[in-house]
Amino acid sequence: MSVKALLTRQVDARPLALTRIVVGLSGIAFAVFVERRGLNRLAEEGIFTAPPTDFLPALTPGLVDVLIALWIAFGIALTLGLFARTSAAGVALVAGASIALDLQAFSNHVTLLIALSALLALGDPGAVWSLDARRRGTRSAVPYWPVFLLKFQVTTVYAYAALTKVNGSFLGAEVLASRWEPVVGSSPAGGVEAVLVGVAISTVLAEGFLAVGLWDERLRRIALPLGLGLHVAIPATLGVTLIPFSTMMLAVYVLFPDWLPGSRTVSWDAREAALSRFVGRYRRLDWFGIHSYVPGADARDRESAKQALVVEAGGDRVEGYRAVCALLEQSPVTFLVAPILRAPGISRLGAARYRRMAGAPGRMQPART
Amino acid sequence: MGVVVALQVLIPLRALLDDSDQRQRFAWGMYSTETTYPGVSLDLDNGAQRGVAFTDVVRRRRPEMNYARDLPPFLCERFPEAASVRLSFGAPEPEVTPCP
Repeated sequence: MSVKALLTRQVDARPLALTRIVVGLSGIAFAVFVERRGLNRLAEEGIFTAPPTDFLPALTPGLVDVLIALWIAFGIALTLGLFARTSAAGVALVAGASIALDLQAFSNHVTLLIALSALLALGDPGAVWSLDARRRGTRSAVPYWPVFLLKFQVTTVYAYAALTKVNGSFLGAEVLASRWEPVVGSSPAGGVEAVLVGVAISTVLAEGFLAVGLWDERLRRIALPLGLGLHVAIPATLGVTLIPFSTMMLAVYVLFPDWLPGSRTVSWDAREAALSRFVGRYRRLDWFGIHSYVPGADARDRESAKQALVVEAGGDRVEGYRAVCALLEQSPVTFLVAPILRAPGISRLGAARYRRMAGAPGRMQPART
Repeated sequence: MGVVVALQVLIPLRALLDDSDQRQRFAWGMYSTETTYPGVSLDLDNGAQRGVAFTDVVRRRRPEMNYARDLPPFLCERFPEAASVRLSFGAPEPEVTPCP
């Protein structure tokens, strides 16, 4: 894509709105569950402090309360999309102030919040699904270039996270062994140590892959569930205070696919009750309006269970279980896990489940959407 | 937009290329190295030694901090009875900093 195209392109506003909501909620979670306690620790009497300059105010409990209150207020406004750009800038400024007042307050995770909030402020995150949209009307499309910057931010985080881990301490599993000492012991046995080394190397490879894989349509089928797995594993193994970091990173994943509203058509044998229920439930997940829904009730045209469900996009047509996979890959609710459904063992099970759904006897009922 | 992209690339790159032993901020180096935090003890004016729990005086430890440089002046002020500060980073001999 040329720079000019990048600067002039418009994209559907809904994915950015979803990112805004999740980043806003993550920011609130950071303030309430992580930074409030962390900043209050730095405001205690008689402890080591490290102000970067003498011109900044000292952290006191009162100042921490003010910062956290502002942080939460801007976070709520951002989540609700109330003066969304200003709220995003507010989150960035307050979070920035919090880590600027003492060198020990620095946090990569808060830095990520600052970056994502600042980039949201450059865009139009309140175009839809927001109080701003209720006030002034929705805008269905937003400029693409802030979206690109958000995607690029996540890319750089993965790339540098991988690069900084290329050292003997991490690849030799010292870091992981130290973090997981309660589980693996202070001197892990040889086999355990080998596993830890494998995990360390895999982590670097995964982060490096994510830096590029999210951008490619085919590689994304691996990158999405891989990223989800990584960001579930991180707080699960390193602490729940990392949940907001994980949710922020995953919030940007929804910006990578090319969501094309109204670009696909779903048709299904509406006489099959289970299939109709599936399609009905799926429609509630089709938040970006990718599909139009055409119930087909003429069984004489259907030669197999596969043809009971068809998804057409342009000149391409997929049927049966592959259509189920295609549908789930086009919902922001399920797109992170949907690629797994194509994995060899899982697809066999899924296809069997589909055949039961597609061939299940049902009452003859009118086509229902 | 080009400025933003440049910042996104160059700020962490500068931090990554820093060749000091100190972990750098803004390099996205999350859990990338193991950091040794010092054991702390004080040589008192009366000749006695007194241990100080690191986490009692450093309430939010960070791998980017240079505690060897910055902690002794604070401890000397915090504990006026201290004649010197000993920081043990796992090396055979601790780093000893006399108090003014």
